[in-house]
Amino acid sequence: MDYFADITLLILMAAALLIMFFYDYPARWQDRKLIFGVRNRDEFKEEKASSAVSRIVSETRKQALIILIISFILMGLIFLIPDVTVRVTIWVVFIIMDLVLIAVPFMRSNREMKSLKREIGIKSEQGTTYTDLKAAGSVSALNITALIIPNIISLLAFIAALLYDLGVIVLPGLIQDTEKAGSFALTSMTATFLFIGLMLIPIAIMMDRTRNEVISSDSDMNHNYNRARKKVFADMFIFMSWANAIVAVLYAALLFFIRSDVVLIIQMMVYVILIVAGLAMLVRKSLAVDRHYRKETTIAVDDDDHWILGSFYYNPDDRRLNVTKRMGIGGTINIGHPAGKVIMIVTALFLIAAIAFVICISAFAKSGMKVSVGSDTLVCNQVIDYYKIPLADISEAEICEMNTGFHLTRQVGIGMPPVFIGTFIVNGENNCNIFLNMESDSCIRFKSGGITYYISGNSSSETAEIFEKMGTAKSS
Amino acid sequence: MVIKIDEYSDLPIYMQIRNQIVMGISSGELAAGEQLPTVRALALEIGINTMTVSKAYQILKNEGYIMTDRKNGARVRQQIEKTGVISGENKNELRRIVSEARLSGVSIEEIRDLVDGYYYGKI
Repeated sequence: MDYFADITLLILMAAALLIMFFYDYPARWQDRKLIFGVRNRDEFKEEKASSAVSRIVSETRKQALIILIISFILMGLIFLIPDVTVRVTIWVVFIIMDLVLIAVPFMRSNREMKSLKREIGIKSEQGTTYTDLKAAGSVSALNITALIIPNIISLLAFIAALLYDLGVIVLPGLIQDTEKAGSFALTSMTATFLFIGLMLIPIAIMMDRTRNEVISSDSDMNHNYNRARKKVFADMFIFMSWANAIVAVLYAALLFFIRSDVVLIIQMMVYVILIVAGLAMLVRKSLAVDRHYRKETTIAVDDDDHWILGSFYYNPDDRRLNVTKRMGIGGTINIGHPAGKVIMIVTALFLIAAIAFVICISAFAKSGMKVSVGSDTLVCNQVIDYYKIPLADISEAEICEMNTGFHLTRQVGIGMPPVFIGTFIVNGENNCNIFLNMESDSCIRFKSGGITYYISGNSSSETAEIFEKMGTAKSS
Repeated sequence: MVIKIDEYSDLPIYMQIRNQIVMGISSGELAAGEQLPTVRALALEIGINTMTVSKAYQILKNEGYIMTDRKNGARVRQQIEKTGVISGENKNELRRIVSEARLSGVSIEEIRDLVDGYYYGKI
């Protein structure tokens, strides 16, 4: 169970890296529409240029392969780190850094391809736009209803979970793990799936409304090509929405029968498999469409210079906000658009904040927990004072063992082994205040102000010492 | 029908749209009564302001090439008025093109072939 999150991240990351490698670093460039973000053209197939392109493609593929191998080795090494908190922090930083690193050969080769274009005398047609009057505003492949139905199912699962957690509905005889009701764990999980599903709707609509490409002077050809291209995305979003709904319902249904840890593993495994399958399907279909229409392409718009390093679209003269990506699959934003600038800055800040947040949380978890007993107050501190409890209010204090039967479910707070702080369900009892270091085998249980507290020191001996001090301070 | 817009041309974008739609109607690529995209859809597709497309459609409407209404959007006119005359503006433009061609040493036969090609839709 300790390595469950690591295995999930490994599967997702491995799939993402392999998809990026095979999609963005092709062995055969002749069939591709784009070569490292530069539009493939007939001039590249002429003898001299062809050998130069082949050299760039093969060198870049080698570099990407080296990064891919190193990434897999590093992912294996992360598993050797014994501390969960340090491991999770390294995972987050590694994922962000590695996804940037695997893109570096692509960006470098984009510059080389642009230089090659200039060397062989291809003039940039910057500022030229082709538009098919028949296709404008009329090519759509997304069936909104098919996208809404799975979200309605997710919504029903969420409502059922909420009513269950509020105690409005009970399923006598079915629920073995009754301690879960009231924890809102089921509600928050189904709400997360509902949120993801709802977020997919605007993204799917945005992708369906991306600009139609003109590949031929034949309007029917353009129409068919753009419809096929958009259908690939529409199908993927519908598949993802259904995957989301199925996993939400599966989770909610299974939780009534089995303990949550097992349910969580089953649910996450099914989800990961479905996401990877969905992405693989998208790549395969996307390549098939490009390959099929490649031979029909008679008009090639040259907007390569608007693509910074082949990855970032910057065109202040273009009023469109969303455009189809050149690196990877899906859409991206026009950084030249006023809203695009704001989105880019917010995204960059969000990424920096995410890394900083994870590092801070990790540092926080690593800073020592301290329970001190004063003349009249018990203070639980880790960076800040969590609980200040007057000793006079403490009753029924006793030492209890934290063995295999000791079961915690988080309601609000921190749960990063070995540190557990906040409001938890302890052995079926709701709303207990916790300040525990699980490296201690025992803890002190007491009541204060009608609330049950579980606190411990950093070791069993420290816990016993605190208990003794509490007794001495109270009696004096 | 495919239209080509050059952002760096001296000719304003609305005139580029207008000219190419006229050429499309003349060559038969745009049939009589054919639906044109809405102002918003075309602006979004080209990546320009809706006012630019609106201006192009307004000129085409005033010149009698298209008709617009709120319900059906813009359509190519079923019957385009045949005045049988070349406008003064176009005569001046033709004169400029012929003059430039003559100065470049292009023969009258070559100019005639070109005009025939455009007129009968061979080019």
